[in-house]
Parts: sequence; structure tokens; C-alpha cells
Amino acid sequence: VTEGADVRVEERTGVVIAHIAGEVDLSNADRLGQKIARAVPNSALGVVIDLSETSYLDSSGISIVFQLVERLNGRQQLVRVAVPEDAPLRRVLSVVSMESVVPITATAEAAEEEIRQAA
Amino acid sequence: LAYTDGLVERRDMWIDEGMDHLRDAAAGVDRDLDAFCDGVLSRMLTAWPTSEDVALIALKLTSLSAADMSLELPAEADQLTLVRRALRQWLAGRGASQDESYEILVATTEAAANAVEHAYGPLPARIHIEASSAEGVVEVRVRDSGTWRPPRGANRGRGTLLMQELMDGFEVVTGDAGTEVRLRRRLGGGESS
Repeated sequence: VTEGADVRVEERTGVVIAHIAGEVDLSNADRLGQKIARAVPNSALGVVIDLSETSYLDSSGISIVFQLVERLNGRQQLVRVAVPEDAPLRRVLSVVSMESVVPITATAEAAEEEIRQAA
Repeated sequence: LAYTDGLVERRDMWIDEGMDHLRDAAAGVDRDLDAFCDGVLSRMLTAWPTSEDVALIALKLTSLSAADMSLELPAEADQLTLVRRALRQWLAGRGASQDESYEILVATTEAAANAVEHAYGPLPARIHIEASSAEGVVEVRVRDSGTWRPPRGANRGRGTLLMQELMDGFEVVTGDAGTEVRLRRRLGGGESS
């Protein structure tokens, strides 16, 4: 009986937004990462990984975010990660220095806006 | 305790009488579930042999509000949600804040995930998780029967980093029986990192 996590992907004129909801761990991280990677066309300006509804994320989920960032940056696509300011996840991301590879914004909308302006 | 009638019914014995014998047999045996089932079966079937098939299911109720928490689970990735659910509930009972609870869950899952990834060998591996608290400090011990392997690759390296940074104490103890990761965290915002 796994509660697990789900990813919902939407595209708004060139920006792909992947909303990850639920608990991400070793049991489902790879599957979610692949689902997001497959959903991003070469033509996309960039990708927002929205962790606003992610109730749990550990190193296995962090690892897929790093992999996505590396892969998309290699294709000249921009990536942003959205995490609310007061989410407990903020401290976890700070420990692994996620901000050194990808900008973190408070909301998916702000992240989307940043990508549009930078592109 | 659930069982098939073969355990308590005999041609020469009323079922009520058989159930009384079962109650006596169950009262005197070990509380460990495997030993309990073996004990009940051997007592009943030695005293009242039968040619019928007998099945027995024993359940142990665990109170999560108890002072200490103890879990034993198969070393499989899909068990990690259960670990967090139980620990989250236990931590709420200890007065942990949302952030403290989250960080202890991450550190514990990292330790358990390490055990899951290194679970190999001929026997199905198990993870034991115990949590206790004293004087505002929570200690979680994650034990497996495998040998600790130094973290490989960026992913496990980050797991170790998280355990170190999110907890006040992080220790790996390797013994003959396996590996135990000990995590300690002071509650009440007195976090020192």
C-alpha cells in the first residue's frame, strides 16, 4: 500500500511545468524523473519543476532533479525549481546546495515568468 | 489469533474445551510472533494430534503512542512510506515541530534506503527501526543485517550529507550482526549544525 507520488505535466506556450505531488523516495523517483524527461520536447524554452505539492522528497528525488537540470541545460533549456518559502523541503535543498545548479523560486508562476524573461 | 477448526476440534473433544486448551497454550508461550506460532502449534498438536490441516494467523498490536517505537520490515523500497507514516505519527506524539519531523523523516529514510539498496544475499533482508526519546532528544536507530558500504555515487553521498547536516548526531556502527545507523536530534528548535 504505497501512497506514492504523481506528476502532472502541462505546457504553457513553450514552458513545461511538471507538478510533483505526494511523496518521492527510492520507490518511485526514477519513474517520475523519466516521466518528466519524456514530457519535455526539444522545442520547449524551459522547464519548471514544481515541488509545491511535494509532501516528501529525499536524496533519490533530489538526484532526479539534478539529472534533469544537467540534461536540460545541455540542451540549452532553462530549468527552475519551485518550492514555497516556508516548506520544510527548503532546508533539505539547501543542505545539498541545489541552488548552485538551479535557481529556486517560491512559486511555479514566478519560475515560469523567469524562464520567459531569460529566454 | 485466527485459526482453522483443525486446531481445536477433535472427535473426542468439544470445541469449547479445545478453545480452553488453546487459550492455555497461547498464554504460556513466547511473545515473538514466529516463536509464538511454533509454540502454540507444537503444544496443541502434541497433546491432541490430528490428521487435519491446521492453519494459524497471529497478529501483534503495536501502540504508536508507546514511549518507544519499534518496526521490523522487509528491506524493500515500497516499505519506506510505511516507515515515514509510523515515524511521523510517533514524532507528533513527542511534540516535534513540522520542520523537525520532516528532517528526521528524511534522515531516517536515507538510512533505510541505504539498507534497501544494499540488501542482497540468499535470505530476504529485514530492516529494524527503533525510535526513542529522552530529555527532548529523539534517537532513531536503523539496523539491517547487511554490511555497510561506503556511499557510492552522488546520490548516496547526498544521503549521507543529509543525515549529517539535518541531525545533531549521526553514527554508523558496524557489528557482527549487521549495520546500525544512529540518528539523534534535539527537539524544540535547539538544533546545532
